[in-house]
Amino acid sequence: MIRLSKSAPLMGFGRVSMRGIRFGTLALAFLLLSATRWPTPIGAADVTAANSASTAGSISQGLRRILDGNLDSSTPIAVSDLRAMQGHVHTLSEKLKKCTVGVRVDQERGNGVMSSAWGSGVIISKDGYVLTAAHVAGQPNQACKFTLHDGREVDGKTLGMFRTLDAGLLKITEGAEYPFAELGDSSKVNVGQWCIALGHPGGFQEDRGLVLRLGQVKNIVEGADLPDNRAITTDCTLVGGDSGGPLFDIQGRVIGINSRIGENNSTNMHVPVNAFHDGGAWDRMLKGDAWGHLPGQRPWLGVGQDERSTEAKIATIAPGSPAEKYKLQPGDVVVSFDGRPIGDFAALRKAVEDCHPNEWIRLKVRRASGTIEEVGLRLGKKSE
Amino acid sequence: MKGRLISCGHVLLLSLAALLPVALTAQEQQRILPRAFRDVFSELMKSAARSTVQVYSDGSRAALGAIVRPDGHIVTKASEILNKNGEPWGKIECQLSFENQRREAQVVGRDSRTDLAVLKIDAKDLPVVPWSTVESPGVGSWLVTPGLSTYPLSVGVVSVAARKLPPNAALGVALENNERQARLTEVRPGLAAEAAGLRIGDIIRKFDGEEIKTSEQLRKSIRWHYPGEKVKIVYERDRKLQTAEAELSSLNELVARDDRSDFQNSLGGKLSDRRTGFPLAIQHDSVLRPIDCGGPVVDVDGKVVGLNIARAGRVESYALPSSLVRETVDKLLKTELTSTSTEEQLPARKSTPQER
Repeated sequence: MIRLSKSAPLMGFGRVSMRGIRFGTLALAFLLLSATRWPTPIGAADVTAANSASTAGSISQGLRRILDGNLDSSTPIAVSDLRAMQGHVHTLSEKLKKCTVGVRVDQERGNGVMSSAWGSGVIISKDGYVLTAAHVAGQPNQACKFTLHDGREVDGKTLGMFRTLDAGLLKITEGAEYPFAELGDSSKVNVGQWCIALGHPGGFQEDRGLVLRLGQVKNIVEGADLPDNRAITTDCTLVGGDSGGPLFDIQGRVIGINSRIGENNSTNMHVPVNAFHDGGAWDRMLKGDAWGHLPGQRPWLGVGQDERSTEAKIATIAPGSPAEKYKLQPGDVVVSFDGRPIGDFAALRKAVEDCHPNEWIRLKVRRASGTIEEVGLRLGKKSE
Repeated sequence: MKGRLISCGHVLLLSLAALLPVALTAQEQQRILPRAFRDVFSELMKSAARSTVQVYSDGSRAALGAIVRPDGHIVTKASEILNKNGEPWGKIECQLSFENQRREAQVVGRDSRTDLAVLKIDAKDLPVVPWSTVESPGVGSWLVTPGLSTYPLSVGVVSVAARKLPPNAALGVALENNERQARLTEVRPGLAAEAAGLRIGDIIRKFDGEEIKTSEQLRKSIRWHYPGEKVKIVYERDRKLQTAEAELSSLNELVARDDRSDFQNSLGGKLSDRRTGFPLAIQHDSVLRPIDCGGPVVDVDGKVVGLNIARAGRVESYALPSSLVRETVDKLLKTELTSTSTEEQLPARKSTPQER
């Protein structure tokens, strides 16, 4: 599920964050109130306990500074520091695994067959809200399945997604209480800081389970006023299936969501966690809003409007387009899109825009002959 | 069967593939550690690094190795230097970490289950790797891979505790996600299913005698079979049960035909040819090249907890736990002494490709 960025176009920017702190704090408070009755953070308490037990207790000042990203290359590190750090990661990883889930979103293809997208996610509230990547979630209000750390499968649904930043929200719908991860503040992330990525590379595998990676933040472009290119880059290697999984800071707080990779092993990009609540994003996602486009990923049907018609009537078919491949014709009128009625061409355009490239959709088309046909087709991708 | 990896992402990357320039150098692929970390890792791996060997095949670097006996026995990754039949690809030479010369090596034995080979060079009083006596390291434990340099070749942590790795056969189909049956939604050209005459829409009812109830069950069952194995498949077509025999393909073969996951996994460098089906392996996140496999992996105590056995993907390297390596070496050396050989083990002899 990893998307590919051509490479990290971020080098050399360093950390960019301005309104981040104030905004982040406000938005977080807002999130606590409106999202869900924010429970006493059990997970967070545990994590804190773990921290005081191993991090604060036995890790030296020098290592502590390095873990936090206050990098001073002249600080010597002893083997005992490595051992302390390892002990800390052992304890922490057990807790973090319990909050990390496999995600499967089933999608009906045009031909009536179900196909699935596999990814990962992280539970962030007791009642089962799950952060993931927008490209894992796919579309709002679809059924999805979660695989918990112990292999148990529970039902859920997709909520909204902010595609420009690849942020998506899901919810476990089987009522119960779930272990959850504490949220960090991505505006305070530093280059050099140690971090942990979890996920299900290649999709959930029962005989393997979650896969942990430890690495460092290599680059960060973050701030609420940077809407398009916000990302945390780390050397925690990611691959398809990891998408949507959490990036934790070394205290075990979620600071990012796995999103995409470049060709270099050190180019693994994560959605900064603040992107989920900055600027009212959280509220919109809760309502099931999907907006924006994954970078370089505009969906494409390939039909041109017949402007003489008030309906969604097709005048032209672009060569090489999905419309051509699935045999739409000039003169066809699209009357419904995935079961939703389409009144005019603008509605059709909007419906396409709300999809992902390569997504299977189902159209009802009135042919020039007057017969209504159902066409299942797979959208393409328009380069920008 | 690779339905899983294939469907991994309905956001496709295929067209991006063409845009990307290829192959970065090994240095560019390596993780860059802060100096303080690099220094302490260099220090703790010192003893293991001394026992690390560079193995050459036909004049080129092929793998690393570890000294397992003072008299010149060295263990390494077999498939980098031997072909399927256990014959060397070319002249095998070893360079010790404290020497500036290459010594010719003979193959003493090979175990195809673990993909280990034991070599012998003419030497004595060599430093044997400092084996760890603790059981396999837990998730998040540091792992350092020494090469012949002062600094670590790679540093990572345990990603998944030691487990048995499936042999990863493939049928070459995509399956509908269904909890009641396993219906084919795609049949890949050139792989087992197509050759066996399976078609889209067929429902697999039995696989190698096992009754199949769900797609997931079938996926799992296929993964735990061996490539090349012949299995009987009972399937339903047009409401009639029919039987086919399939000679299973390998997952690698299938992945190689699937642009996306193969492409993603290749971002980050080449993969080992033999990278599945190990009886027990620790998965770790150290970035390695195939030629970096075969040598020791060191824990935070400076002890050797395993032997790198495969680079298997962008996020995964595998190491055989020390106990398994030691058992296998003991077995191969015992075989050498008693001159009883099995199919998998070569008797001790001076071997050159010409002889075979």
